[in-house]
Amino acid sequence: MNNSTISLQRLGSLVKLSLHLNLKRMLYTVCIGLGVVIIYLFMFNSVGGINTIMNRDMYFNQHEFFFVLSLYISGFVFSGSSFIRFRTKQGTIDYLMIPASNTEKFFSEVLLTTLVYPLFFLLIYWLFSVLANSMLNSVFPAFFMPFSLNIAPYGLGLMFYFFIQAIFLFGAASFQKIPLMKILLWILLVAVSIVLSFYVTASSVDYSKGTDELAAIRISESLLLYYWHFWAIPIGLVFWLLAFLKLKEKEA
Amino acid sequence: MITVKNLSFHYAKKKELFHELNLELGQGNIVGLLGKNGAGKTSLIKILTGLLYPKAGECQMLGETPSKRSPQFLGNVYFLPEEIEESNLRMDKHVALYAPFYPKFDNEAFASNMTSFGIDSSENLKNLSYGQKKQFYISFGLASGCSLLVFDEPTNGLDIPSKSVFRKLVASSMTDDKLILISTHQVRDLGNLIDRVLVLNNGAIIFNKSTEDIFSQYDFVSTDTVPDSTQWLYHERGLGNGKAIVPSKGHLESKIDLELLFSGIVSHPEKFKTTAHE
Repeated sequence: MNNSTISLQRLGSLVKLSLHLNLKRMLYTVCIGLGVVIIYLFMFNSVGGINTIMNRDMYFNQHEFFFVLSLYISGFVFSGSSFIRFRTKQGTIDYLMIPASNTEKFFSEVLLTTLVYPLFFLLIYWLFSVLANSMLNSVFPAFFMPFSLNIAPYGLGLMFYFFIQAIFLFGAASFQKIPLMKILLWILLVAVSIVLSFYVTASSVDYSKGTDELAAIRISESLLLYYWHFWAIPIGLVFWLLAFLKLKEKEA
Repeated sequence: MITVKNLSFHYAKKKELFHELNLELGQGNIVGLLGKNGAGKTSLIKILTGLLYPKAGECQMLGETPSKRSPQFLGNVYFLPEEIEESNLRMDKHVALYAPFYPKFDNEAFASNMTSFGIDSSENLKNLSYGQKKQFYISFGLASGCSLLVFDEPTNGLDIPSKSVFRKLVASSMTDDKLILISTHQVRDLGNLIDRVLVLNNGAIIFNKSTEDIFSQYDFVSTDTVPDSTQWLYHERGLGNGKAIVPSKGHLESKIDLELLFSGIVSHPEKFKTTAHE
């Protein structure tokens, strides 16, 4: 590898530095993820009591689902607040002057958001589920399953996470102030325009011409909706590239 | 070491700050970059360190283009900005995390610099005063082993003894292969330290001379020593006798009065114009 672009030693030092500077932020974000799980559980609890929960296929045993859900929420928050030093002018100067290439700086953030954070979250979540289960088992006469790490049914969802968080990474590299809010607003705007375009397409169908046109629209919709996971790959790659270019052209 | 050719720069939606600026600085110098507030000192420094991109022209530092921000370039340049980032790290931890990026970092020199300033590196940066933080970053920069050190208003926030320590440390760390660029509007703090004076005014370099040339071309005198006002290039009235800059006769032994020189250059740039061979 070209030493001026990527050196494993520099990348290692950069990841170490990023970990040090982001450890608190990682902990706070994990708390947000776990908070979401707890709120979700309490919502069901308040609807019909603990018995209802257990009857509903034992919600407390759906750790894998909760893991993916909370990883999505907290992971997006974490990615959306990466490049945290760009929030201040001094921080931007300090970050840009670190003797590492733009590629190394970019990859250190990607590693932190797509690999280190999910692994860190997995560890904390496992600890949380073990604690929660042991507490619940001692309070209620029921057997709560521990977190099995069997997240295979959510494989596509996880893949989607790895790529879609690139949007948040790009937003964090682009917006200096309140990046997370701005990214969410943009996503909302794009989602609304997609829904509107579907609605307009559906409402403009001339049913008198028979079912062929309707069938064609259904096919295109199903391509978008049912295979949405696979859209995540090109979208993710494009946003990673955009985030890298933003970093490269960043000035202080 | 620094070559700037026809450099033009402006901030977004603002009028041009630099228009076809040219500059050449060699190693083995401590250069004082002087200028009034808003003259463009910090912007020029940021362009030289790759933090801002020029709109036109060429800028080369250590044989590299700063805007590319290559690790080799950044590992050879240390920039201390005027405002420092708030950090929550202990100073020794900061060194452990940042020093590996500088291949020639000298731990012993760093410890010695810290001792000179009287700071204990086991303290957290957030507990230090602004001046102490500056002392830490100056110590780090001087120990970094970089060929180019750029300090923007380094003496801001330093107390009087620390300013003296700063001058001593800069002078002692200077070697023939280094260039130290110090930007300031507090010209008194640089007295006897710099060996080249660069004055920036309204986005243009209006003065660029070595202290040797200044010695040979100007005398800094009391107005009663040279009472003939037609000889004065610039003068200032004082409480007692005034001060004046006169063309050197070669027989007067005078110290450079940097503050007087700066005021003279800014108010009458045509009288202090730098010639091409300088």
